Amino acid sequence: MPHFEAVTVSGARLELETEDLGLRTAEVLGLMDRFRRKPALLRRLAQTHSATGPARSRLVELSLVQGIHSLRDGRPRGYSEEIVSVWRER
Amino acid sequence: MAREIGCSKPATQTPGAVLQRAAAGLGRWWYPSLPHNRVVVFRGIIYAFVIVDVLLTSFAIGWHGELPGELYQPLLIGRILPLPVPTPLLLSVIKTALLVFSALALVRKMPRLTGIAVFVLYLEWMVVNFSYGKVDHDRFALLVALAVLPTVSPNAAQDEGLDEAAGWALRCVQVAVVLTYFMAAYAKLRFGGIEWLNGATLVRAILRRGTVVADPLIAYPALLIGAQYLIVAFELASPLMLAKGRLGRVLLWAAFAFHAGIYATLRLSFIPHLVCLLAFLPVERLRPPWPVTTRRRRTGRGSPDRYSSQGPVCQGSATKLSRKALAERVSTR
Repeated sequence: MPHFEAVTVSGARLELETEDLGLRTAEVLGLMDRFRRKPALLRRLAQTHSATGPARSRLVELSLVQGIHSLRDGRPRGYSEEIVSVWRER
Repeated sequence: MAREIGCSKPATQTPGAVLQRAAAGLGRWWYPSLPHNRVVVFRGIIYAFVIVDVLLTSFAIGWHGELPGELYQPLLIGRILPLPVPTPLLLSVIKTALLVFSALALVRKMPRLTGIAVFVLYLEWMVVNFSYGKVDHDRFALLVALAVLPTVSPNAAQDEGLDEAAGWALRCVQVAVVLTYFMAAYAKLRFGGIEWLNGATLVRAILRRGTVVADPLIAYPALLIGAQYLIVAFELASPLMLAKGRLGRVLLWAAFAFHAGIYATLRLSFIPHLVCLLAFLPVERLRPPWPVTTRRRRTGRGSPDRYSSQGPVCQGSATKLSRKALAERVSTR
């Protein structure tokens, strides 16, 4: 399951569902390679998100994180996360 | 003089005659004479569903207007046609127009024109829906239904009779429903290969969105692999839904059971597709709990058949009469 992690201008760390940024989970899965190749797309998502909230919740960092379940004999045996793409405001 | 009846010599089976008979049989299959009322009721269900869909089940499409334009990857149709990149304003206009035209089509106001408008607008609504990295297959039959329904005669006088045009429209929806299943199996085998059957697709789906019914099943991978075999077997057998008689009915109810199981385990509703499955059922027999008025052909005031087809006034509410006219008719009986 993919999700986003963000840092606001006030330093708060947020975990965002894909829907919080206007995308359905399956859409993020379909766009995963594009996010990986072009982290600037995360900047545009962050800008869109920031435009609708108060100034202190403006995002200065946004990461796309993919959850990975490992299986053994067809049964889930572990969980890890991969950071697919990161954008940070300079 | 006596005439010989019957013929002891078998008819010649020329290839042309065989082809002709096959073409005639195919024509009868594509254009079955079905009750016009069936397609009228089905049309009402479809346009009512479009309203519900735009407001409730596909509301997330509205989010796409807020997304950066770079994420818009139009489908082939969107690359061929000069369709605009979605904006909040564009999607609001499409949504409003869809609601207005669907409501007009629902009440049979200029049904051909409003039906075509609904189809074009809903197609664009779906192009927007599916141009951000995900394409659903549960709306294919609905799009086909919206495309063919405007071809059905809007003449209310035909409602009681049999109609090949109605049969053709319903047959198209049925074929689209079957293709949805069959092509889903093809896609699984095309992209996943035969190994898809032994893969972990259902495990992944349960981990992602399993319900309390599905979560315990994760401990039984063999059961889930068996379910994958069953799913593909059902999808490959789906053309049998078009068969007459018990076989077709069994497959149809298997489809409903399949979707009930999918919803109970994964909360995937396939509502647009389920609505189109109704094309297989005699929906004209459905009776809403409220009184129904059926529109009849208008005849002139002086026309001799003005009341001839109305029957006794107490046989339901099929005719539209004013309270005064109704009282007059009752008093004369």
